[in-house]
Amino acid sequence: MVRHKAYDRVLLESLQLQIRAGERVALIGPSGSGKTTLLNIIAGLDSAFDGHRRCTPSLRIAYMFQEPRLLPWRTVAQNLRLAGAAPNQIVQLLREVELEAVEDLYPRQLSLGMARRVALARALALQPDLLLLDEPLVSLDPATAERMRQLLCRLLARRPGLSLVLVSHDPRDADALATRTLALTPNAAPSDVRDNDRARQGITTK
Amino acid sequence: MLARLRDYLCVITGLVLIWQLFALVLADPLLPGPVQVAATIGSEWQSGALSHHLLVTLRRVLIAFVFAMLLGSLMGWVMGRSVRSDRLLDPILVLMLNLPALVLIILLYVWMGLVESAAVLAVILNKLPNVAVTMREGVRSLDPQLEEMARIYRFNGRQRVMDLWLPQLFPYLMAATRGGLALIWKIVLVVELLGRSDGVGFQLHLAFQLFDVAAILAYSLSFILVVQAVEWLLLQPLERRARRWQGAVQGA
Repeated sequence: MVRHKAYDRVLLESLQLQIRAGERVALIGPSGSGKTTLLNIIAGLDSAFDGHRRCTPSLRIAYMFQEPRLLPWRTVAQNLRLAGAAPNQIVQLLREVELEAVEDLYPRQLSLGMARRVALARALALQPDLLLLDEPLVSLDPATAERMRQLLCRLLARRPGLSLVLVSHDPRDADALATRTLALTPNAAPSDVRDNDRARQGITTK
Repeated sequence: MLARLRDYLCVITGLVLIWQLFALVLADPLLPGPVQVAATIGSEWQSGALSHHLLVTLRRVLIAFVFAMLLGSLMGWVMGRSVRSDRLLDPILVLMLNLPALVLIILLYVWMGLVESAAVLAVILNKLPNVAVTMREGVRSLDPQLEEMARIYRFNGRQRVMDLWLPQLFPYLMAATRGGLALIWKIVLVVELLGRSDGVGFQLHLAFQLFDVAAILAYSLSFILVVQAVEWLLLQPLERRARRWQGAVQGA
């Protein structure tokens, strides 16, 4: 049961979620269903809940928040350096998210789509074992969203060992990026749990 | 920049002209004109007295300023970060804010004697609560979303201070600095007048006993010039540098 103590209401009833290495999980559901709360719990940012969170001690978690959350007073390159990118990796990281010549710009000089991609590059700079994406395509125009979706697909395909938890309100994102989808409904047990066609063996969901 | 300088000079010239006009009309030795005051500044400078007393006062201002900023920021930080310490320290803060500067100065001189440490300590304790109040506001306004980001991306202590907190606290630090310099030098003058035998405040004390208004104005204007120079040469360049990211507009 996930009761958020700050709100003092039950957001998610008895939920058990196990994420294996390389597994791609999508959490979908309407707003208020506790998707982001669950993501914060997985990230270790939120400990005000009843239950247990267990993970490998050395697990590296990168979290791409819904808002890019770049430091506005630092340039793109400095933002990546702060996440642990070496100076000679920065151009390479940015090229991977299809950005060029933005190293010296400040975040407010970027469009939302570009800032999201910088945030994605920052998440990759951490060389994570588990990547958390909170609504990576929301508030983008359809063409930019499609481009971002394909970019994410390519990046994930290049990193087979990377686990993913994706939060989205759009089932299309789940189909494109995840191997397993978990539908959350407000104040109820997660229902309509289905594995995608590409689902692997040995996944437990209760 | 040039336009600003021009406007500044216009205002100053206008004020000096009005002053000169009043001095001419009243023709009273208790209101010397700008020419006479400038002559006094010149002769005091020649004798070395002006620079000596200015430097003595400036040193007291700087020491008091540094300690008031450091201790006040620390107090503001603790109070802004923890609700409990805010509750515990708030009565002390209110007491310090409302304790008249003069009372504190007199008490410290009585208890510690007419010594340098009492003088500087009195100034520090007068300014500290103002810094603490400003910094507490700054610390309360720190963005919790960026705080979470820093946790996920494993910022170390240095990165948290230099890249996360200081840029957010910078406007509050600047506000505390500006208000601080102005307030501190005024209190330093009182401290010098009451219990020191050098500094601008001491010179003002002497000039007051002789009703030497030209000397009073000469010393005050000289110190205002010093504070203005600090603003132009130190604070404004620092601010421009720190605010560079805000000037960056949508251009890509």
